[in-house]
Amino acid sequence: MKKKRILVVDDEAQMVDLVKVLLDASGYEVLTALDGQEALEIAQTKMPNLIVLDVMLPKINGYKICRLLKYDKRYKHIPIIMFTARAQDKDEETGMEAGADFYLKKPYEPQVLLDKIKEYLDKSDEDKR
Amino acid sequence: MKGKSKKCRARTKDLSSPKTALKEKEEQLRVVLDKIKEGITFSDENGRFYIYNAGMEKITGYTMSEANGSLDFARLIYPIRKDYDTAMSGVAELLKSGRSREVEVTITAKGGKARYVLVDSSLVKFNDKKMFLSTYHDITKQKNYEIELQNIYKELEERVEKRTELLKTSEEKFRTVVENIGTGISLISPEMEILTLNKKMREWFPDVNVKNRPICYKSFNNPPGENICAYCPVIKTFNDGETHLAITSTPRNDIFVRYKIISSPIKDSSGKVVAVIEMVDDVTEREMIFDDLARAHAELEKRVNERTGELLRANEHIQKLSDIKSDFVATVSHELRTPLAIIKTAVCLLIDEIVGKMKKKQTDILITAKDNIDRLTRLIDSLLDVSKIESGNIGLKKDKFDLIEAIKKSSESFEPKLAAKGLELKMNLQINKIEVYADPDRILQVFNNLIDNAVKFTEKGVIEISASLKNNFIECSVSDTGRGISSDNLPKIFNKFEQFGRPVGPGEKGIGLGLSIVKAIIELHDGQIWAESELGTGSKFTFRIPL
Repeated sequence: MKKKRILVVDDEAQMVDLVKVLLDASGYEVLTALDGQEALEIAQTKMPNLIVLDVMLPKINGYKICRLLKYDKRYKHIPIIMFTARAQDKDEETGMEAGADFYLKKPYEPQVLLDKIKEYLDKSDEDKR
Repeated sequence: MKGKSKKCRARTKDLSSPKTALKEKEEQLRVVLDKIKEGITFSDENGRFYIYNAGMEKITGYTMSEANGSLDFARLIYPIRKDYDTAMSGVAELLKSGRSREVEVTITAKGGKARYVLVDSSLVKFNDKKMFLSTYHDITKQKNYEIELQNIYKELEERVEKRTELLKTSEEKFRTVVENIGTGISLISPEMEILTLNKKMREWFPDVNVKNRPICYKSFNNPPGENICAYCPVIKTFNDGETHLAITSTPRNDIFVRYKIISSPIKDSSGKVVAVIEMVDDVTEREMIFDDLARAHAELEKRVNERTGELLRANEHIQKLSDIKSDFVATVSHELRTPLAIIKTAVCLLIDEIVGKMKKKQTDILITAKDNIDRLTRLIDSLLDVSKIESGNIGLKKDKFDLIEAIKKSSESFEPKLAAKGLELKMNLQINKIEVYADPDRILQVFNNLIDNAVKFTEKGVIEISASLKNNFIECSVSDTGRGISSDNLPKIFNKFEQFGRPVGPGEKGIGLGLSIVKAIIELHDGQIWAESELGTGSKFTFRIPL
């Protein structure tokens, strides 16, 4: 079975590294990006199965990336988990309006992240079938 | 006279027939004389009467014999000197000039009664003797009328005089009042001529001379104006016959004098205004007070406006500061969460042995670290909540949900802690489903906070959660058998950063924000919350929210 490809986007390199460790250990192929533009390019060229997306990013912020992808029929099937320290209710609302599938606030439980990734990948597979 | 007539009769008896004829004539004369109302006498110089008719007897009350019998009949009937003199002067005049003369005298009749009589005497030559023929005309009645009339007239005259005096006095009084009153009074003709000025007006306008028939608007305006004053109430009164008022400003001695002018009409019987009374008061001082008042009022208003502006600006500033604070807290919250998230991820990776096997001791230490990361996270959440509550930016996301389920969900999350402390959890739920319309996350937060506190401050015993449906609200409570809160501290329990009885030793500690947030959430739901407690026995927190 082909490894699922997950794009992890965060401007904090250390966070990206740690999440990569977590996801590697769970058997995913992990792509990483440290700014918005890079994230968008990778998303469009490498076609990941799921994106874990920070909000506060250089160049293009997470909400905008989410919107661009979700309003483009080529990418809108890719599940996006917003992954951010912006913890206010209105931030979550903005994220969900931008089309995010789930809004995970930092600090987070690594187990919850793994559960949600699995949940949305499964859902995505179901949709394909 | 009777005596004489007897004598005549006696004589006539002795006379022959021609004498009888004479006697008849004499009798006729006597009857005629007696029929005449006037008194008629015929007497000689010595006052002896030859004819003394019945009319004379009636006037004087004396008979002829009584008259002839008296030494001086004149003295008898004129006892008053004045009357005697009048009568005698008449006689003297008669003797002197021979012309008859009528005199008015007062006779005192027999018995003392006065009679007013007109006496007309004439001198008659008879047998070479001077004889007096007198007629006495009784005018007592007329005289009495006359006297009465005179009295009436006199009285009338007196009364008229008195009335005149009275009128004169009252008019004088009135004139004095008008003249001396503090109000200036002038009378203006339809040609706008000044007819009268009282003292006050003369004082104010010493150059105006009424004798020259001055025109009012040329005289009262100073400097003299040619035009009829625009404000003039007198003209208005001439036009419509009503009373009018105006306040004028007239320059006088380098200052502006304010006059209050009231004009009242004087109308003739047809209602035409024939003159106008102008009453003038110097209201300069009063108007100055009004001006001062108006100025003070304007100044006050200006200051109030300024102060209001200041307050509005201050309010804006405070709002801005509050927004800055909220933004600051939100930013700080984000900036704190970012490193915390990295730490937590790292710790979890270790605990979950993703990067290698851990010894039990190492895992325990890392779990302690993780617990405190969570604690710090909750603290940041609380600060963010308080900031939102204070800035009014907390919005409820209300939805229908089952309250019982929320209670169960909350209490379940405390199971590990309850177990660790050996506390019993008792659920006292009246029914197994209560649907409410509220913010589910916030209500869950309320239960989490209340149960967390109960667990934190209770060492042994029971934590009891109750929920019951009342008329139009739900009442929930969380009670414990913990240390309790003193009555001094109880009223302050919902205040921010108030902390009572911090638990000693290991275990979670707060910073005193939980209950203030709980209270705010309940109040945002239009509910109430209160606490009951007894030191050493336990505490009970109860809240109500409307259905």
